[in-house]
Order: sequence, then C-alpha cells, then structure tokens
Amino acid sequence: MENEKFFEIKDLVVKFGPPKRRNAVLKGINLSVPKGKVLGLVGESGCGKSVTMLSAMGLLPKRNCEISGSIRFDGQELLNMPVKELQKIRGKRIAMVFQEPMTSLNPVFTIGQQLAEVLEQHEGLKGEANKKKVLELLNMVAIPDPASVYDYYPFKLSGGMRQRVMIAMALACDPELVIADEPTTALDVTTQAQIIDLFQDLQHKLNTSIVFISHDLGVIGEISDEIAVLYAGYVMEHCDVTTLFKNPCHPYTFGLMASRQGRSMYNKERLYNIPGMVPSAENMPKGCPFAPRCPKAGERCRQEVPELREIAPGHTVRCWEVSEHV
Amino acid sequence: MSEPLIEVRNLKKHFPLGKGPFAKKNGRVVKAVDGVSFSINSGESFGLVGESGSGKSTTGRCILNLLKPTSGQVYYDGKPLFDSEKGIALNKSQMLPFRREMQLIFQDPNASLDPRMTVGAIVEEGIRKHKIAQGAEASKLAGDFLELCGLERSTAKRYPSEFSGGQKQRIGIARALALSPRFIVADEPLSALDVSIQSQVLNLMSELKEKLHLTFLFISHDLKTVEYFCDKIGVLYLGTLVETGTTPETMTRPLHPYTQALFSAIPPDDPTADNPPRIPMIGEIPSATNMPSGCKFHTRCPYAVERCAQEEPQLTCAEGSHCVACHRWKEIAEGCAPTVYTSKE
Amino acid sequence: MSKEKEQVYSPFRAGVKKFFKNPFSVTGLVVLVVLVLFAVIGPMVTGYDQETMDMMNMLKAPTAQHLLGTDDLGRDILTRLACGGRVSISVGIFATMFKLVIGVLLGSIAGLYGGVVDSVIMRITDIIMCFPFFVISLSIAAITGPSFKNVIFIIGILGWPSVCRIVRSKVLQLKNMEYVEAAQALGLSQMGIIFRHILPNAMGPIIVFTTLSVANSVLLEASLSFLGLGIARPQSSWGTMLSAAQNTQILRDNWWMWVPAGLMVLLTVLSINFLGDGLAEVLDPKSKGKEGV
Repeated sequence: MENEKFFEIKDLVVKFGPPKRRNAVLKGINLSVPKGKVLGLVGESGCGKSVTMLSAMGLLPKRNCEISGSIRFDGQELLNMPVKELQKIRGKRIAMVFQEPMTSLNPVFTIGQQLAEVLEQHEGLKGEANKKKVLELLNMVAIPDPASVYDYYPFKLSGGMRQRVMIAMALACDPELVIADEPTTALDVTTQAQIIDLFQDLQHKLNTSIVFISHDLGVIGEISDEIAVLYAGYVMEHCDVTTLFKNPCHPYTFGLMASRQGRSMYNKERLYNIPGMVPSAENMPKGCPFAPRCPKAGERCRQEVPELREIAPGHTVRCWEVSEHV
Repeated sequence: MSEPLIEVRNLKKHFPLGKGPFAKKNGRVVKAVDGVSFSINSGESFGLVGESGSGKSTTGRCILNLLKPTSGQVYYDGKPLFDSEKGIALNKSQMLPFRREMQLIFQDPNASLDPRMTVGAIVEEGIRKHKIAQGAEASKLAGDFLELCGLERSTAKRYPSEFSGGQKQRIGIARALALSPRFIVADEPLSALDVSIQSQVLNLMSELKEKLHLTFLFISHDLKTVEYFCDKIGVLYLGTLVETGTTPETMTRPLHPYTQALFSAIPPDDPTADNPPRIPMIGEIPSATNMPSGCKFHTRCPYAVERCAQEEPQLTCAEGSHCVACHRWKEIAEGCAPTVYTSKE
Repeated sequence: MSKEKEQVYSPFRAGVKKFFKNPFSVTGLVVLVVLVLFAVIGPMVTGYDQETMDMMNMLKAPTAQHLLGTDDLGRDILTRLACGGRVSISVGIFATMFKLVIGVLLGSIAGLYGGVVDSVIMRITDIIMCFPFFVISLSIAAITGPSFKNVIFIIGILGWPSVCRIVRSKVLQLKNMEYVEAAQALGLSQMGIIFRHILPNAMGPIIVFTTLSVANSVLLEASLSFLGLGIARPQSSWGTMLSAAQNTQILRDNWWMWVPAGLMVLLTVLSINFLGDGLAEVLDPKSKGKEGV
C-alpha cells in the first residue's frame, strides 16, 4: 500500500495581525504524511513549522488570525470543523507532544490522574480498567516503577521523565497521527538520545504516523523517513531522508547542512554560513524569500516566488535555479 | 613553557540548601562544583562540556569571581584571585583591575542587554568605568568595537529591542571586547541562536580569537561546536571533571564511560550512513542534592564495580595531557565487557 | 525582532503612543491638568481673597457675584475651594514624595542585599502595615496636633511600606537579570548597579504607585481634616471644607458649603486613578508592546 495520503495539507495560508496590518506567517504550505511513516519538519525561527501543526489541531487564536487552504485527515476537512467534532479527533486520533515538559503537565494533578483523564474522556475507561491501561502506558514509555510514578506529582519527575509521560498521554488512545513539536529541544543531549530511541521504538511497534518538528537537522535526520524544509512560511524542499542528506538541492537546505557539518576538529577553515537573517513577517522581500541570502539567486528569483516542483519522484523543490536546470 | 594564564586547582562551590538566616545551620548543601582542576594557556580555547547540573556555568563564574568559591584556588596570570589555603579572596575594588582583562559573554541575548539603555551606552559602560576614554572618544571607541563585531556604527543610537538574537549577541560580544580583555568566558553563547546564525557568530568569535589573541573558556553542551572551536576539552559531570585532554585526544579516543556515552548521543552528521550503534545511557542524572557515593557516575555506568561505589576516582594522567577520572579506564580502553553493578543506594 | 527603521524607536516613545490611545487615561490627564490649573491660578482670578470676611453676605447661595456662594463667615467659597485645592494637592504630592524617598531606598536595599537586612526591613513594613490607619493617625495627631506638616508626616510614615514592597519585589526580579551580572563583570559598584540598571527598569511600578498614592493621599487628607486631625482651620483644604457638613443645618440647607469640596475630591481621585490605570497598562510588562520591563 503506497502513499496513502491520509493526512494532507494543501495551500495552507495563515495570517496574523489586526485587519489593517495582517502579515502572512504561512504562505502556501503543501505537505502530506504517508501512513505509518515519520515526516520531519525542519526550519529555523519564523519558518512557520509550529503554526502549521497548530492550525491542523485548531489551536490557533480566534482573533486576528486568518486561515485558508485545506487540511484533510482521513478524508475529513479539519479547517473550520466545529469544535465538538474536532474534540473527538484531538487527543484520540491526532495527538500532540509539546516542547516544554516543565510546563505542559498540570502541576496540581498526579501523573495517574492526568493519564486517567485522557482515557476516560476518549475511551470511556473507568476504575480498575483505566488504572491498568495507565500502568501499561507508563511501562511502554520505559518509566521505571510505574506503580509509584502513578501517584507522583509532576514536580517529582525530571524533564526526560515528564516528556515520556507526555508521550504516553499522546499514545494513550492509539492515535493514528502524533504531532511532536520540538519534543527534545529542552532536554539534555543524553536524554534527547533516549527520547529519540523511544520514538523510533514506538513508531515501529505501533505503526503510528508521526510529524516531528525540530530546528535540529541531526535529530530530524535520525528519526524521519521524509523531511520537509521550511523557510519563511514556505516549503522549500521535501524528499526522503537519504536524498536530503546525500543530495540536498535547495540552496537553503544545502546551507543548513554545511553550517552544521563544518563543525569538526579537522576543519580549520571558517564555517560555511548563510549571510543575513530570516526576514520578518512584515518585511518579506518580493519574489523568493530566500533570494537576498542565496548564493545562487538569479533575476527571476527576486521577482517571482518559485513554484514547488517535482524534480525527481518524491522530491519537490521550490527554487527556480534548481527546477529550471533539471 | 610559560605559566598558564588561568589556573584552577581543586575549585569547590557549595550552595547551602534552604533559605533565610538559618540555612547554614542544617549543613545540607548542593555541591555544584566539587573539586575541579584545570589550566588554560594564553591563546588557548578550553571547552568545558557538560549537561544540566554539571556545574559548568558555576565554574565559569567562580573563575571570574562573580560567585565567591567555597574553597580552592583560582590564579590569573600567576596572581591569585582566590586562594582558600592562603586565605586570599579579592574584594570588589581589588578585582577591578582584573575585570578589565577578564570578561563574560552570556547565553541569552535578550536578557543580557539592559533594555533601557542604547546600544552605544551599553558598550561604553565599561570604557567609562575603567577610564579608558571619556565623552566623545568613548563613543568613538564603542563604535569601533561594534564595527569589529560586524555591526554598523549607527546601531549605537538604537535600543536592543530593535535587533535580532544574532545581532544582540554581537552587541554582547562588543561590550565584552570594549575593555580589550585577554580572557573571555563564553557561557553557552550560541544556544539561543538559530543554526545558521550560530555559524555567523562562531566565525566572528574565531576571527576575534585570532586577531586579538584571546584566551577562551568556552562553556557549552554542544559537543560539535566545542570540537570545532576549542583546543582542549574538559568534561564535567555533577561538578567533577571526569576527563580532560586536547580536542583530538579526547574526541578520537574518549576514555571515560560518560564521555563515551555523551559523544555517542550526538546525532550523527549523516544519519543515513553506517554509523556505530549508540551506547545506551542508563537512567537519569541524579539530583544534585542526593549525589551518589564514590564515583558520581557509578549509578549509570555500564562498567561499574564495587570499588566505584566506595571510592571516588581522581583525575589521573592516561597519556600525554589526556587525563581521566575512572578506576577502570585501562580495562575499558582495552575492551572489557560491561557489567552492571547495582549499588545499594 | 529586527526592524530597519530610520527613526530611533525608543521604548519611551512607544509607551507614550500607547498611552494616548486610551480614552480613559487621556480624560484623566486632561481633568487633572484642569484641576491643578484651577487650584494654582483660581484664587488670582476670582477677585476675592480666601480670608476676606463679608459679614453682610454670610451663607448666601450661589449668585453671579459669588459663583459658589459664601460660607458662614462670608468668605467666597470658590476662592476657598481653589486655595483648598492647593493645600490638598500639595499634601498629596509631598506625602507621596515622603513615601517614595523612604520606600524606594529601603526597598532597593532590602532587595539587593537580602539576608538579615532584608528580614529586618520586611518585619518593619509588616508591623506598620498591621495597624489600622485611623487608629494610628488619631494617636499621632493627638500628640502632635493638626497641621500641614503633620498630615504629610502621618500619611507618609504610614504609607511607605507599600512602595517599599513593590520596589523590593522588582529589585529581586531584576537582580537576577543577566545584564546586571554583566555590569558586575564590568566592575560596577553595587550602588552604581542600583542607579544605572535596576531603578530605571523598576520605574514602571514606581510611577504607577506614585500616581495612585497622590490620589490616595488627597483622600486621606480630606478624611483626616474632616475629623479635625489634619489641616487646622482657618486654613482651608477640601477636607476642612467638607467638615462643615458635620453641622446638620449646613448639611441640609447650605449644600454649596460642602458639596463642591466633595466633588473636587471625587474628581481628583477619579482622574488620577484613570491616569494611573493608563500608565499601568503602558508600563506593565505583561502588555504586548515592544517593551517589556
């Protein structure tokens, strides 16, 4: 069964700000997640990766926010879905893991209570059956001594442990899609490695689809099957992980890789760096947003926003210089 | 070989637990830094690496005397800044001439610049305080340093809130350089920046290091950056140095089990290539108030034996300048099998 | 966030812009300015002196000659109102300055030095704040007697703990900021750090406190003088004018003797409160402006 596009984002445009000064944070995102695979979303600040997923979950603010486009999940349109319908999907079929383990758990409830709540709400489990499932979940995310941890308050757990609890909560109802928004960014390197291993392990066991958001290309590379690189509200490149690391086509992707890979003791030269900065939402340049910083920018790049084109099967790039010369 | 610029011997910093005037009575402490010794030669960059709770930031601040050490010795250019054996502890006015030579670059570009001062005033502050220049001359000098850090002179009239993270970090560097220091402690200077901006700032720091013959103590949890920038590396775990050595020595042949696991935890450059399997790290970092006995790492070490729970290993010389604090480093290096010793804690 | 702008966009200008967008704060400001002008210029314009007694025209209702009528000694109420305003507003300002000098200094010291010093200062503020205001002021006034200076002293000495706490909590928050540490690394002295880095960033809550304190002090003066513990007659203040209402006949028949004073107090306190709210919104670190103190 190939490429069952059970989660697809098409032409998603999101604008923030009061009516007179509305700026587009997302300018046309096109993504899809094949069933049972991991899509990595990578990009720096201002690229819109978090906003993309928050709009899928209906978690964007109501005021001063304009969304258009389409987000389809298993045949249903998620944008503008009434809240009651959305609540049946959120937490049950689509689950989210957030960045800050320190603040995403409610400090006045025990771990057991918080997990029990999710199970009761969506699966209708109560009493002993509920407790049994909670302990199973805690075990699944490799939390030592689940029976004791059941009664702990969040402050007793470390960051890594809390993140595991968040993952357990996300997986509680066997969701079909898990969205993880920078889940390892706030963690130490060794804890991060443990959480990455956990994600990989669970994904293989449960065959869940995952959208994994991070600014860290290394982490994304380890866990993803496909990667989409975002910049200033656009998808710049989308391909499978091997292609991205062996043959990055978009100048921005290439720049990110080079910035990262030059950091070795054998490199006595200056690091490759992408000059300039990400443009702010109010000051978007005409044409390709990356053009001012791009070593390959041509005249057309500065005038027209490039289209997202497929240059090889499963490999799309948004760049005139690349797509014209294929 | 001349004397090292910075010498730290058996540095300890303990924080009393509990608040109020009665805190010291109950005797419980957090041993943030517990006997750290290393030296940095002039023109060298020393990378201090560790995770949360390792005490790396505390060490940096003790060296600069921003935190008063509990015991130990800190020497700058052969002169004591703090020596508990001889009872020397410089006060504010005695530290003043040293402050010109030792500066600090901070992690959070948003919090390290006073939002109510113009950029120029921020950079000039040190210049005026140390009477390097006054008035218009001070402003000109500040402008010079801003330009040196890749910013335009006109940024001096504006406020920090108008700038991006990378630019703010450059302003912070300009402020530190304005006194023409010899030694700089950089405390996670890149952590709050985007990857592409990190490279820019790192290149700036490399340039300045060469141009101005700066000596660095580079504190970071990011091993790749430390590998690139630093000549020597020290790995901290819960306030103790577990391994030190030159960068090539330590990176190609890490001897301490913690260092090995730490290096293995870094995501590889090319995840699609054939990379060695990850060394699993058992458990979590223990809380600083409840430190394990003996070797602090023994509760998570795959090679721990009974001796490790009882006796704390000292930093011993393995080969050349490569030192390690582990009872079993020889056996581990020769490829002994892991054991898992469960201590009675 | 970086913006390449031609003009310098200081936090101060951003704040001023925001302030003027709020209709309440602008109204408060305007009314307050009018009141202060009235108090300052009024007596010169009315053509009467506050002391002049006109035995022919005692307790007369408002007429064209005496716009607010006369009191029981034939003195022009409008003039007395303006002069009384000078006194009441001055008390408000001076009492507030008194509170600020003591409170800001002690609050900074408590916050910055911590330890025993902090504990001692905090216990003193606790003790002072425990006592009900009027009970203490009664006692003090009984000893010292009512006068302009004493009123300022009473309001000030009982009111400084509030600003002391405000400043202390802000200092505690600010002293952990990295730019304070940077100043220490540069070698700045402790006092230098307080004045250059901490106090400027603590100005927000201090300014808000100042405006509200002036309003509160005006109110307290009026209350004290009403009870005869504040300004001594024949010197007029809004409070002493209000105390005329203690006489039931005047209360019933001669409204012009006390209502205007009451209205003045009301207007002053309201306008200062609106002004203070507007300032709080601008200087409040939680607001979504560019500047977060």
